[in-house]
Amino acid sequence: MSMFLISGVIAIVIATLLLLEFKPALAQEQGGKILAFAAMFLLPTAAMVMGSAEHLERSKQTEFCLSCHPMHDYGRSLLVDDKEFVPANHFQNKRISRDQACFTCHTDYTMYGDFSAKIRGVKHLYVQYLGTIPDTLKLYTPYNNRECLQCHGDARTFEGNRHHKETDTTLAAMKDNRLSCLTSGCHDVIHNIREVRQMKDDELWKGGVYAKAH
Amino acid sequence: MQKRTKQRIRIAAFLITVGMVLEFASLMWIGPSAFLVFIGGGAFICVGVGLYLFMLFIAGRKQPHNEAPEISAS
Repeated sequence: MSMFLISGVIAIVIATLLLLEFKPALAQEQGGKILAFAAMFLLPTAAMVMGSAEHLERSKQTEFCLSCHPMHDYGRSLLVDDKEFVPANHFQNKRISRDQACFTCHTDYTMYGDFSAKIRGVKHLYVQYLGTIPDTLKLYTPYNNRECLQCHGDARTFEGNRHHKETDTTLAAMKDNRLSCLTSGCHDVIHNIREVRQMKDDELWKGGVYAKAH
Repeated sequence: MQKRTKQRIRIAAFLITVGMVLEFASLMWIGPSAFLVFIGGGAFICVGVGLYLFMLFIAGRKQPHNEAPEISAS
C-alpha cells in the first residue's frame, strides 16, 4: 500500500474535519451531510484499513524485527563471516530477501501461517513493553523442514545432493519432517547467539547495502 | 441545528482528527512502537466514528423535550 495514498486520504480527512470543527452546521446541510459522512465515516475507515495493511506489511521487514533490543544479536548473526552459519549464508548470498530475512524463515508456510505469525508478534509486543524478556529466546515449536523446503524442495541441488540420497529413505524422511535439516547434525550452525556475542564488529561481514547500514 | 448535536459533531471531528494525526505519525518510522501508536490512533478514530454514527442514527431521531426548537428570523 502506497504511503502517499494513505497520507493523501489522511490529509483530506483532516482538512474536512477541521472545516466541520469550525462549521458544524455544515453537517446538517444537504451537500454537507454527504461531506460529513465521507469525512467522519467512509474515509477514516478506509484510512484505517489501508494503515493496517501497511503496518502488517512493515511487520515483515528485517528492520522491524531488529528494532527490538533482544533481536540485536540475531541481526548480527546475519553478518557473521562464516558460511557454516546457515542464516548468514542465506542473507549474505541473497538466498532470501534481505528486507524480509526474519519473516522468510520464521513464518509457517501453512494456510494461516502469516496470521499466526502476526498473533505471535502481538505476544512479542506485550513481552517487549510490559512483560519480562527471557534471557534465551526459544522457538514456540521445533523448526519444521517445511519452512526450508518452501524454497529448497524440488530444487536440483537439494534433490541431487549426495548426502540427501545417502539412503533410500533420507530424502523422504526430510520431506516428511522426520529427519530435521537443522538438528540432525547437518545444518546445525544457526544463529549461535553465544558465539556471536563474543565476536567483534570487525569480524562481521561488511558488504552489502544493508550490512553497511548496520 | 440542536446545540447538543453541534457539540457532538465537534467532539467526533476532534477525536477523528487526533486519530488521523496519530495514524499519520505512526507511518513515519518502522518498529513495534509505530504499530502501538497506530493502534492508539485507531482507538480515537473508532470512538469518534462511533459517536458520529450514534448521533446520526440514534440521537438524531430523538427530539429532546427540554429544548425549544430554534426559530428562524424569516
